Formats: sequence, C-alpha cells, structure tokens
Amino acid sequence: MKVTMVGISGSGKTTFMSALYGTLGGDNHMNNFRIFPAASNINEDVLEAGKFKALDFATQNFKFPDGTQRSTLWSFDLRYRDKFVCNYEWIDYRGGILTDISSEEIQSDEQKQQEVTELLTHIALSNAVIFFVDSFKLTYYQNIKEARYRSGANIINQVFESYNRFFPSRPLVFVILLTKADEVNESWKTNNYEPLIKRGMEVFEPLISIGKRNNAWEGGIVPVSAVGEGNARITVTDPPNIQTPVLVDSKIVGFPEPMNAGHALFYCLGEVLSKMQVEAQSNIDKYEQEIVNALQRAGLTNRLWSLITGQPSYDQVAKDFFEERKKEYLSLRQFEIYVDPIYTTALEKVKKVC
Amino acid sequence: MLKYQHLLYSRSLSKDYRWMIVPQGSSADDLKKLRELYDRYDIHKGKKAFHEADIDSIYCLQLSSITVLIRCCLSDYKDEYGREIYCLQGISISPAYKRHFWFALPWLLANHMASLNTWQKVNFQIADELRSTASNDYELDLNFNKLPLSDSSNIVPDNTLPDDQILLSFNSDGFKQLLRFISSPHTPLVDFAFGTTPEMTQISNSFKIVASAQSRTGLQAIGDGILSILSWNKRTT
Repeated sequence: MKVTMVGISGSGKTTFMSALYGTLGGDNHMNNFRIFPAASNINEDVLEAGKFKALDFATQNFKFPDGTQRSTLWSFDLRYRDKFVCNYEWIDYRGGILTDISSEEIQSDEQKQQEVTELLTHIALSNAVIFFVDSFKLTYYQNIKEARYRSGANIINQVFESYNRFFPSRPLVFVILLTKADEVNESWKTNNYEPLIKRGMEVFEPLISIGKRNNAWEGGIVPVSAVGEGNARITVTDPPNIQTPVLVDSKIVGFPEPMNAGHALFYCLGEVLSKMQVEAQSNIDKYEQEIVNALQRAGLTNRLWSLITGQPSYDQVAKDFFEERKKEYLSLRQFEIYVDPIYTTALEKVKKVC
Repeated sequence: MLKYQHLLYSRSLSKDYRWMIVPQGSSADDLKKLRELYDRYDIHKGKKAFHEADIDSIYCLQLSSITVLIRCCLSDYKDEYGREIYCLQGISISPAYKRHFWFALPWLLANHMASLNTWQKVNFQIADELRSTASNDYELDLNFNKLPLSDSSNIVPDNTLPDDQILLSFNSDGFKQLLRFISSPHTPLVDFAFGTTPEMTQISNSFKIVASAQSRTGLQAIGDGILSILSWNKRTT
C-alpha cells in the first residue's frame, strides 16, 4: 500500500513524521496499534528504527525540523498488539516540487520536470494521498483566494482536477490535514475546531466538489498539531506589503503531545482497506485497461515512468503493477478483522467530506 | 587580475531551494553536479559533526565548464516559517583564469567567510525574485605579477601528489593544514572536500584532499593529516 504526502514547502510534512513517531513509533501506541519501519533483518531493523527515532522531537532537542530539500521514502509495518496488520510505503516529497509545477522555470529545467513527473506518477499509483495545508495561513489571510495561494491549496486543487480528468474512475482516498492547528486564534478552535474545519473545506472547495461528484473518491479533513495545544509559542510578523508573506517563527516550549496525527493515518489505511475488501472480488481487468489507456495518453509521464522503473513499456509496467495489486487484495483477507477498529478510531476525529 | 563570478543555491523567504545565482558559461551538467552535492549535504546537515565544527564545509571542484570554490553552510536568514536557510555559495572561475585562481586560492581560502559569501551580495527582501539569475563579473587584484609564467593549465605536475587521498580533520587545525598544503608552490590545483560525508565525496572521484565530517576521533584525524602531508613533502623535496 502506498501513501503519498503532498503539500508545499513549510506545510508541515516532515514535522508530521515527528508527530507520527510521537503517536505510533517507539514505545508509543494508539489503541494498541503501532508502526515500525519495515526491515528484512535485525541489522536493518535496528538502523531503520534509529532513523525513525531521529525524527523524535526529543532527539532533535525539541526543535522543529529544518526544511528538507529531499524526498524520502519510508516503508512501515502497522502492527496490532505486535501482530502484523499491513505494510505501507510512505512518501514524503520535498514541498518545492509542488510549487515548481506552476513556475516558469519548469519549462526549461529537465531535472525539475522529472521530479514533477515522478511525483505525479507516484500520486497515480498511490492508494491514498494526504494533503498538508498550514492552518495558520488559512486563517490569517481573510481573502479566500489569497488563503489558497499562500497555503498551496490552489496547486493541490489544480493538480487533482487534472487527476480527475485523466483517471475519472480511479478510486482516490485523501485526507486534508490542517496542520499547525494549535497556532490558530482561539476563535477557530471552538466546538472541536469546527470553524477551522469549515475554513479548510472552503479553501479546498474545488477538490471536495469533485469528490462529491465522483463516487470513486473518499475524502476526509482533520485538524492536526505535531506538538499539541499550548506546547509551541509563535511570533508573528505582519507583512509590510502584498509581495511579502506573513512571517511565523514557532518554538517548542512544552513537551510535545501530538494531536490527531494517528487519526489521519488511520483514516487513509481504514478507507483503503475497506475499499480493497469490496474491490477484491471484481473489476480488476477493467481497472487495468483504464490505467493502460490513461498511460498511453500521458506522453511525458510514460517516458519518465519507463526511465524511473527501467521497464521498456508502460503497458508491461501497468500489468506488473496490477498483478502485484491482485496479490495484495488476496493477502488482505487475513487482516479483515482489523479494518473496522482502524476505521472507527479514525472517524472519531476525521470529518468525512465526500 | 582574477575575474570570477558568484553562485548561490539556496532558498528565500517564500520560494524553495533553487539556483538563485548562476555563473555565466556554466554547463547544465556542472550545475546539476553541484546541486547533487548540496542535496547530499542536506541529508546530513543536521549532523553534530557539521554543527560542532568550528569551520564551514568548503569544496574546490574543477568541473567541465568552470572551477568552483564553494561553501555549504547556514545563511544568516530564516524563511517565512522561521526555519534556518542553508545554502551552497561561493565563486566560479572560467578556464581562462584557472592559473590566477590557483595563485589566489590560499588568500581566498584564508578569507573564505568574506570571499565565498554570495548571500552578502543579495538583498534578502527581494530574493524571492531570483531564479537562475546570471552573476555579474567580479575582479580580485592580488600580486599577480608574481604568478609564474606558464602556458600550461597544470601549474604544477599532478605526479608530485601522493597517490592516496590526503585525509585531514574537519576542524580549525585541519583547515590550517589545508591552507599550508594549498599555499605550497609545489601543490598543483587540486579538488578538495573539506567537511564532507562519504555520499558527498562520491560526487567526484577527483577529491585529493578530504576532511570527513564523520565521527573519527580527533587524534586519528590529526595523525592521518600529518602522515599524509609528510609523505607528500618527502616526494617533493
């Protein structure tokens, strides 16, 4: 199973990994579910666990992580009371790729074109996508268009409109993460963050409305905080002009207690597992044909996909991918019993939007 | 007169990491290689060895279209989210000025905080607008009349160098050793990576001098550095 994180630079993707560690990694668990970096031997296990632990706020001396220039692929095992439930790949893309999509430079920069295509290919192959958007920016800018622009929601809306055009019947599970929810003004937090959630839905209205029309899409929205209420202190510098964004300097001042980080992950896994249960019995061939057709239409994507995978042709790649998916469906049956607990836990905090 | 240009790979207030200033005449492949070097630095920039070193990482690389002397380091700025901004910055020299560069290298290295500070030439308030902007030409006037007359681009034959890499410690003592080595008239222009990781060093197999930002003990590193330089001195005297 593949989950891709999408959001502009500074939207909180890398920090969310720290929150996941604080919720489900190491000694932490949520309703007896825990995650471990996948490993094939004890050496790898120890090294990967160390790499995951390096994201812990305590290991980072209680500092928010630096912005990253790289994309990172994680492979995690989800376990329930130490029993293996499922494996999932988690892709943390460098946020700059998303803004590169709408930059002029992309036309002449082959490397950036490749990165963008790789991201779009991964999104197309993902079972679930998590959208990251900075709550503070959503609420600071009153003009909805400016809020969309400053938070990167406009690019996400645009990319997934294209996705819907290319893959109209492809199932998509997404969850919108309203990150840094602890940083917004108190008025946005009333009634379990209802005003903030409403604002998030307004900003992502184009995306959500597609989801409402497209029965193959399932989406949710949830406010999250990597450190929890009252554990970060922010200094805000108002912009002197329209060209300059608001400056927000955030420092951790209390021991981090992540809020809703596990729920976001569980929503993705729960939705995907439920969908897989239903789909396991049918429609695979039709699905395969649709992807092959879509790939044929997607000139550049195909060429780069072949380059990335080393496979000579897109249809062979697609066939291999779906063979793998079939096996995945069959293996699903063994953990059907966990689907409900995961999904029920998720829906305690995640609001369904489509 | 040494003519050079500046280069800067970094981010600004609200625009992500990118080439902000590029030297004219640099090839796309060379810029790609430098970006790769920065990407690999990015993976390890949080390492204690980089933070605790009393000196920046400095690299000298002779690429196909240009020769560069650069630093990977923290800038003095933060982005809109309050995060530190890192950078790859420094100078680029065209092949025509390689000999002048060799002559000026000890001075440039000794004054690296000023000479390799491209950010100092940029107005941060409007830096979001910089995207692959071509550098201006700059000039450095040292006593170039003392530069030995030679048409050869290899100022000193490469065969005077030891076969093995010269290993230095990544601290101010190691830097002094590097300066001493580079200042010798017997030393040709060599590629070096001062403050590096194995992944960064893989960018080029031409690094002749390496100071690793890995956790070798200080004594080990100093010992290695002295032995390497002694062995080189023996061959040149």
